[in-house]
Amino acid sequence: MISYTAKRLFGILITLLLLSILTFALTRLVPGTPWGANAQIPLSAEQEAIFRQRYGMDKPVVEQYLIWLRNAILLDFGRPFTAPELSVTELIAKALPYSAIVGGIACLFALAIGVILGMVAAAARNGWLDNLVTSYAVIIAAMPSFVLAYLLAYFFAAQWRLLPSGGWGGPQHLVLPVIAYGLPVTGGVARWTRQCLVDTMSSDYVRTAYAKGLRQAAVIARHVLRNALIPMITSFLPLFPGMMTGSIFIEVVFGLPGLGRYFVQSSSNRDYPLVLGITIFWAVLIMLTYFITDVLYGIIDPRVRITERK
Amino acid sequence: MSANKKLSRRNMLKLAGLTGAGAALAACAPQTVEKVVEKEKVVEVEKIVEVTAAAPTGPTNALGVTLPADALPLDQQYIKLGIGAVGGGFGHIMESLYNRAFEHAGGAETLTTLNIDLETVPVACESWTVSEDGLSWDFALRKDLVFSNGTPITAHDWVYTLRWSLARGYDFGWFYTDIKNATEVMNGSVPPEQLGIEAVDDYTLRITTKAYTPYLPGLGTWFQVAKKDIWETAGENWALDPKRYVSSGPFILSEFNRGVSHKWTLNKTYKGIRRPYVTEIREQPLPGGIAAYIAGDIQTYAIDGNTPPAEVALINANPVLRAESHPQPSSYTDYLGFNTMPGAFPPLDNPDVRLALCKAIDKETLVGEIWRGFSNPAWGILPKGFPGYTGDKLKELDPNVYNPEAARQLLSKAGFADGKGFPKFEMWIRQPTPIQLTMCQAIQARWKENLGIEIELKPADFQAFAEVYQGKGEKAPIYHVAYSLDYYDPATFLNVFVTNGGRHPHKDPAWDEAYAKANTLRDPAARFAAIAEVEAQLVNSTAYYFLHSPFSIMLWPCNAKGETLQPNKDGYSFWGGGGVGCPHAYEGIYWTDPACRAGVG
Repeated sequence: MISYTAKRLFGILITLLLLSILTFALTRLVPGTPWGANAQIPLSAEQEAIFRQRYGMDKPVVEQYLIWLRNAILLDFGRPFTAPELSVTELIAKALPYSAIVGGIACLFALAIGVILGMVAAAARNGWLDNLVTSYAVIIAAMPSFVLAYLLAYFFAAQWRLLPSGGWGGPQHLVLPVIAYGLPVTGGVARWTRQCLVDTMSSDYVRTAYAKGLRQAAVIARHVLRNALIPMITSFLPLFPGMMTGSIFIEVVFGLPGLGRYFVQSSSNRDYPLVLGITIFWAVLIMLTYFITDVLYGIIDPRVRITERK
Repeated sequence: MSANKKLSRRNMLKLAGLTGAGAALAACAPQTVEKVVEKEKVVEVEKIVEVTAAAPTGPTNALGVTLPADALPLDQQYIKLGIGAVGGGFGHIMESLYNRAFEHAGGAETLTTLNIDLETVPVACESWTVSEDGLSWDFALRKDLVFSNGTPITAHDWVYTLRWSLARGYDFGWFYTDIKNATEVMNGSVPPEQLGIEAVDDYTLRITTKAYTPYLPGLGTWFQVAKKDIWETAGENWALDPKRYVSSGPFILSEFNRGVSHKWTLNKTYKGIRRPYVTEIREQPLPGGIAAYIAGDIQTYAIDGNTPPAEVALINANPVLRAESHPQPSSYTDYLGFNTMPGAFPPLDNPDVRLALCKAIDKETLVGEIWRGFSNPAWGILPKGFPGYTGDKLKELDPNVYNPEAARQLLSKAGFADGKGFPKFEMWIRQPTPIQLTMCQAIQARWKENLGIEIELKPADFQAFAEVYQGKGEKAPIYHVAYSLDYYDPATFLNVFVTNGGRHPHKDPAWDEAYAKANTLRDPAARFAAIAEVEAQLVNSTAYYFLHSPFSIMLWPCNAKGETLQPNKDGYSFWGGGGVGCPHAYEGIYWTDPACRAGVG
């Protein structure tokens, strides 16, 4: 397990290095400059020179990258052009909690609803309830979250005045964003849960359990769920970093401060330090999630540990 | 400003307002609803007049301004703005216009501003005079103005601000290039001390221009003062830090939580003429969409050609929302440009070919069908209703007359009968909205249908567009851009077509000369007439094809009252003092009981 962990961590570092090179190169290849963002006419060469010098971009690109890498190793990702009073790390730390709260709760909401629906569908396999859940899953998964967001805001905020249409405040401000963000995800979760459960329920050992006279509840709890959990964990755990880092659509529609809009705006603003910082941050989060998933996999499934030992 | 000019503009703006509102209504609502709305709009105007006549016996704010009797308590008097409309890295507008953090001018005094009739009026100055040669403008500054730290605001602060800004690569620096040596200071070829701005004495600011610039006071609407040496003494980003912020305006930055909440409270040391009723400007991420407006979570909402038809229908069907709708005058024009540089993209350097391309576009039909009443066809660069507008005459010019048969003949004469052998050019489109893209697709289809030629559409964001269009060899053969006004004079639009303005891949020294001569005429009537001539020459050059001038309809709640919101002499109402597009401090707006909004949801 130790060598496996070490190998995986080394792999993560190499991936991050390659990713940083690729992202750095792409930011420099895309036309435009941070100081020319939104400008009606490009700055003159003399004006550009002032900015290049100010932001250390008058050096060769390779040298710029090496300087960035050295600083990044020390967790200094520079200062965003569009928020020069903060470091990239500070900006991410400031924006992330808002996205994490909304995305985290939305993810839990999606999992809770989706797993329950999936279990219901699996238990009523090929029955009308199964068809109903499957239809729901397809329809809700096909609906973009921002469409749902506008509909929810229109009815719950504008028409019925039950909830605020957006903004950041008390728990009531979270209800609509969480539903709009989480509900479309329930469809996929329900379908995958159903699939995993149905596959497991078709296994020989489940038939054996039934043959031994165990009740359905006991079979599902002891044999089906535990085995179905393995593919479910691998699929559902990565949902968290994806959703907790924010959605531009949800943040814009509901007026939430969060990391989602920085993902998009940093690119359109050509805010190189922020693009790199967010990309690396997101990659670390995703890779750590998969890493943890793999470790959990080994804990849940003894076969993984046995293979590792061999 | 001459009487002729005022009369002309009034008529034109009235015409534009009526046409625009009528077109939008006709496009969006059934006939019966239209009649109801006309009635409601009248009622709304009457209400405003009645309210502004109320005695000022309401609460008194920290600036000593007493609100009218019908005002809500002070804690409910605030302006709510969204972060992200601009949301950039710079706190003071003279650091960056395009990447500034704050859209309004609450914390900084402007030299001038626009009144609700869109006339330039003094703010930090009391008056201005121009020298006999028309080159030196003396602004008599108000002597009682102080910064929030108690230091008097003098001419030296204004001189410092503009010198500092232009010498530091200001992205809006081109706006000031009428000022002597502005270009040279930006390029570093002369020191900032040689910029045409000086303090004659503590309270007389002199600005010297290269040529007579009758709209110079209009440039002052964007010119905001900073304390002398502030960047050197308070350090970079002082304008993003409430502890270091030094205000010259009616508000001061009291909270800055990047991307989450920015709060401006009344600056108690402020002694200027902008006297807001409201006590705070609160900036935060705001929800979007009509639902947020109906729910009262946002204070304004704008609809235009990009608004989904269902949403427009929803507004049309709701009497309260209809009464809260205020058509705005067109402030920009969308146009096509052709790269006419010799040898760059033949045959676009052939005027016959360009004329064929122009005549093959059925502008009026396309604008009507695609913009659904939210835009007027443009016959020149000046939007309908703008001072100096002569669209009715320009409409008759050959490039503006749709005639596909004549277009085919012209193309055939140039050697491209039925489009055979015509190169497949790219049309670069700068940061298009969905509806602008639709418009370009329609033009693409018209050219294919009428002339048999094909083009490729290349939508691009601002930066990618600029790189192709103006940078490194001007690689865009055909382009689609929009240009928006900065002040209310034809020069705001026509200046951009001067060859050395660097905006377009087209050179016409004869036009430059004619325009320079027209623009600097001292007699306003003669100047406007001459400018109309050069605008016609611009249309006839076929280097550009002016498409249309969109407009929007702004909604704000009926319980927002105050002199700022009154209809102006042309019937338009604007949100916030100073009219369209100009930074302001929301003086002259206050909130009353929202009972009038019953039934909005």
